[in-house]
Amino acid sequence: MAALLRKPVDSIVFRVFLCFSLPFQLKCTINDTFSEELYIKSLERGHVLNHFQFTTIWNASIEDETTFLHYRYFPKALGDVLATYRVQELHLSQTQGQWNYEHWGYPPEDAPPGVELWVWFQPQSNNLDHMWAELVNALSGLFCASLNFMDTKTTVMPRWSFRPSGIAAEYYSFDSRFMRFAALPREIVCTENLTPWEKLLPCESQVGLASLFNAVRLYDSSFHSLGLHFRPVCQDGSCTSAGIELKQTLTVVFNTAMANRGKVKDHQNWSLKSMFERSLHNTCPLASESKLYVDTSIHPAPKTALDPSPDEVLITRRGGERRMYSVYDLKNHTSGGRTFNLQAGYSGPVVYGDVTPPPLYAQRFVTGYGLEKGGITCILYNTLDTNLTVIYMETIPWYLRIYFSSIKIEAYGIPVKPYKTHFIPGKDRSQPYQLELVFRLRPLSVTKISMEFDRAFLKWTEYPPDANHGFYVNSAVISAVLPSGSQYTAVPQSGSLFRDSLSDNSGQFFLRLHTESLLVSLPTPDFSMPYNVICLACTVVAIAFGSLHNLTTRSLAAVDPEKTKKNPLQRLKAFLHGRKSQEKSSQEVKGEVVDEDGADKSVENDENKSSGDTGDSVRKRTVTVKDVTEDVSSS
Amino acid sequence: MVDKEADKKTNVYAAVGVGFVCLVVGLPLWWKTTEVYRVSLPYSDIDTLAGTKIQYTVDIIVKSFLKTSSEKDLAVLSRNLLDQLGGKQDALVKSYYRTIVKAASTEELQFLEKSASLKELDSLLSNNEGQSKPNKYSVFILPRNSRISISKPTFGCRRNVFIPEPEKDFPGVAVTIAHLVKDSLVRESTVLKRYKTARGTRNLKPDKETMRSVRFSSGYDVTLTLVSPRPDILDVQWDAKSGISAYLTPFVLRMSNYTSIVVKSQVLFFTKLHTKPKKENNEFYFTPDDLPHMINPLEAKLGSPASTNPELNFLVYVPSRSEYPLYIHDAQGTKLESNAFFSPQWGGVYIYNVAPPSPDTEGPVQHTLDMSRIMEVFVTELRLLLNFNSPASEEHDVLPTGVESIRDWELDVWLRSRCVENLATSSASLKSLAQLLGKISNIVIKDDIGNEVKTAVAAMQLALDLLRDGDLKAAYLESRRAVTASEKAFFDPSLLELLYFPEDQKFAIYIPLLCRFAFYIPLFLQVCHLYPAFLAGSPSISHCYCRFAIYIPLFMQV
Repeated sequence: MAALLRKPVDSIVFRVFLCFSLPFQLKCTINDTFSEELYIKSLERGHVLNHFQFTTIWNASIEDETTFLHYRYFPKALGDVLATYRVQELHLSQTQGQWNYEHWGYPPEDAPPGVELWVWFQPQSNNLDHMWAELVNALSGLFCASLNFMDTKTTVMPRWSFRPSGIAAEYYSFDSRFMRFAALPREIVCTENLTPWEKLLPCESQVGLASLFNAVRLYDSSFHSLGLHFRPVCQDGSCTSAGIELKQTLTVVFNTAMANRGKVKDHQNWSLKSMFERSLHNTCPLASESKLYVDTSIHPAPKTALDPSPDEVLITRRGGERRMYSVYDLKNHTSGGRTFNLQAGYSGPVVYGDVTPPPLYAQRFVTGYGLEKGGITCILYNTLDTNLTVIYMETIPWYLRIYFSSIKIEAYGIPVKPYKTHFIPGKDRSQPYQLELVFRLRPLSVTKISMEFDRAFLKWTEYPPDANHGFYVNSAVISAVLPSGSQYTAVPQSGSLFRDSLSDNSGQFFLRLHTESLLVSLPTPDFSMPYNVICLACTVVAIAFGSLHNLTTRSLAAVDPEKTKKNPLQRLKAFLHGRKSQEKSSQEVKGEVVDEDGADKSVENDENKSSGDTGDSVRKRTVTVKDVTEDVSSS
Repeated sequence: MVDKEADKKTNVYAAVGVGFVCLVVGLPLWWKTTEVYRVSLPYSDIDTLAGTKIQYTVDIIVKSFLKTSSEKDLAVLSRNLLDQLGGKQDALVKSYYRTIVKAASTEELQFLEKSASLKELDSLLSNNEGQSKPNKYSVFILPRNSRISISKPTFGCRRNVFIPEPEKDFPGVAVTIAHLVKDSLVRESTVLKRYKTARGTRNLKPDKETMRSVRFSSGYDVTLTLVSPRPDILDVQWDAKSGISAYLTPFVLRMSNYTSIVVKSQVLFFTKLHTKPKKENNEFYFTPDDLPHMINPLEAKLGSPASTNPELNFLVYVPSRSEYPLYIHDAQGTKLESNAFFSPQWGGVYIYNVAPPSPDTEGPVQHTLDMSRIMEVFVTELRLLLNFNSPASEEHDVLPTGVESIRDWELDVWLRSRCVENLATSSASLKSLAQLLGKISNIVIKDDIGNEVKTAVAAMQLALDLLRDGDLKAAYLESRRAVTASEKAFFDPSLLELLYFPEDQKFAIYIPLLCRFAFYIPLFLQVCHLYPAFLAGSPSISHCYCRFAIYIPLFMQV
């Protein structure tokens, strides 16, 4: 069982040792190489994918202590962080929007909505939890993102889903103690994340392909993802010289059909100018290569006409699928101050039909109702006619208490027994629930994973702002090795540049895909409650205590008002009140009859009133209630 | 009537009972639960240290190579020297000199005979055993007619000063020696200024030396940056690694016992100065007024998120074709010879003019920068930033230094002034902490912070003793320990834990309590009023218990 699992995942990783075939053009004076590439692909539902890839390869070894002292193309700000915290490999993605696998196929760099970070630390580092905490703080400063929220409550050490993608010793690759994974599905990505990301490029966004970055257009797209991948690599087949690779990717999907609405005929046409509102004037002079690839496999020429015409049309096969790429060398196209604006025009109306789904895709959603219990269900589709072994990983926050016994995998009602299960229950306020399952998908099947959870109560300070919006749950990560390259666009692990994916003739394709992140509502209190409680408590106390106090300390006694001595204040009051009531009584109720046994009434009368009444000539006797206290005070 | 009296007595008992429970149970409970945790700190030691005068001791040995000087002359010189060096002392930082005046030994006389140059003599004398100890300086009076003759007093590379034989009045040379020792060898004024700055003296007149040098830190990050605004025209290369290892590494290694300096280099492309230079006769120049505006746009691309040490930046700017050649003019409008400028406590910028290729040349032209030109400027600036430079003077010469670019006596000056600065900083931090704790009752002092404070106090006391004994190196190391500990104690985030406890939450907690107290006011009034009545007659006991039973549950809620 174990062997079966290792084969698909790890053979890919370790092939890095064997078949490194990058034709580097190293100049003797320049240590590093930099290249910029853009891959454009029309998707089947009127979307256009733009994938920028900027690759820096540094002719140095991460094991050398002096490497991170002298920088040329590699950004020093990032290098300092990586060296201080002894990072072996770092993968960061910042994404806005959900990739639609069913209709768009596979992206060149897969990323979940929000922010995802996974890091391998160097084997000799100790106290990794502390290092991780410091690293995420440094990175959050560098990338202007709230990565500092990646604390123990969100961080896990997956056992099988993540392996080093660069060179690594075998014992190390299997030891997930050196690895940390965390994701923040709630994090919103915007211009303030793009700017620091751009600053890491040697040419920044002033020249070259990065000059197309128009934040207004990028963030007005259907999907947008920033990626940063750092790993140690080999620079030749025999791995005699080590290198450090920094790959920065930007994936953006525009809905051109929507942008061109109103035009009946050319609604799927696109151009650099229409997508970015900019055209290309130059390339980065530091780049050894500035290339643009247009994937015309879906709508090949003459259906699609590209203007200017490509320098080269490559027809290749990848994993059995026929691909057609139009290649542009941007250095030629922009030389002599020329402007390059690639335009794609469709000769006839585009008919949208059924889209062939990719070999493996998934859907995930929350089930159940009410605020007590709930469930998560994920449906995995295998459209291949062969068995497929997948690794399914969930990280669920501690406040959704998963029942291990409720985890079920079934295909068409028949339970599927997982080969391997790794479940770490969460701990309140310190550790998330972590689940990894390895199981097989039958050919052409739909497999369902479901689990149930209880919703926990949070302390009132633990609720985020706008608590009624709900709580996000990380995307599930599904890893598999596909036998078919259908719709697969990622760069092979043995390669660095996007170009390497064009000449990839391997038969196995490592795929990692992220499902939807979920939004779950928890029982949320009324946040004005403490205030209400205070008000209520005070009122109750005031009423209860007041009356109790009165009851125990007051007594009724008959007092003759004539004999009562008065203090000056009382006299003044009596005087004022007397005059008023005299006027009143003379005007209105001259003949008022006073109840002979008016004691009941007079009890309610206060002292002022009764003393005021002394002026009335008609009254014979008055019973006055006097507070014992006041009695004493006046005496 | 008897009933009424009894009622009053009961009231009194009830009130007294409630008051008793309140005071004996309620108050201590409240006090204990709302107490802010605070370890006791050595406040009296902190106060004593703040008032302690710092005294440092320096050893001076004057040796005469003159055959003419008699025992008597030397004795007079010794007395004169003591008078000169004693002098008026500042109240807070005191210097104390231990002087010995004697004739040179025969061995030393042989050295004088043997050596061909002053530099050789300097090294021979220094290598002689027991000569070159920190804080111990030798002043040699050289005869005028010997092979090595000097016209001005000259400082050696180690800890020697050479002065020429005076023309007349041999004992009068004491004035010269005292002047050299105080102003250059020990730099009393620098030490005092460092002390005052660290203590935060308000009415200190700003001077160049204090303002430009960085304050003490346990480490510095030095970054060398090459700014290449147009790599598409001129592809500038530099070998920063070898430049640094040749010019800076000996210096860094020399300092490694005292402070850690990490030197890194980077290249920035397509980074422009946002200030437009002025043009005159096909030359571009910046006036001193333009220079401050150049740093801020560059600053955005410097800095490291992984370190908290002060960063010292040295930038080489290679002007692009549109602004070549670029110079810096001084206030008078003349070109600066160095073509570099310096920003206090930040670093320096050096403009390196490289002739760009003609506009019709295809592709970028490569050019490798001369590291020695760059490093020369940067080493000078680094010495200024770290305050190694003694004030230049017409009256004396300094022997050129080797690769280490730092002389032993300069290092001593640095250690001395940093030691005094650290002691002042540490004492000021502890004093402020003590004051804050007195003023703000919400500050928590945990055990580890308490330990830091105790460490700092102990290290300061030790450093003061060592400084007084003249053990400069150990005193500096102790002062560094003190300043690290005291800064950690002062800036620890745990101090602030309760400081921002929101007042409204406190309100929410106390309101239910205080509201009830408000209801007790009539009760207390009652006690006051009933007291005379209580004295008059005897209370009814059973009634009293009844009241008590009513009040007790109410108070228990509180």
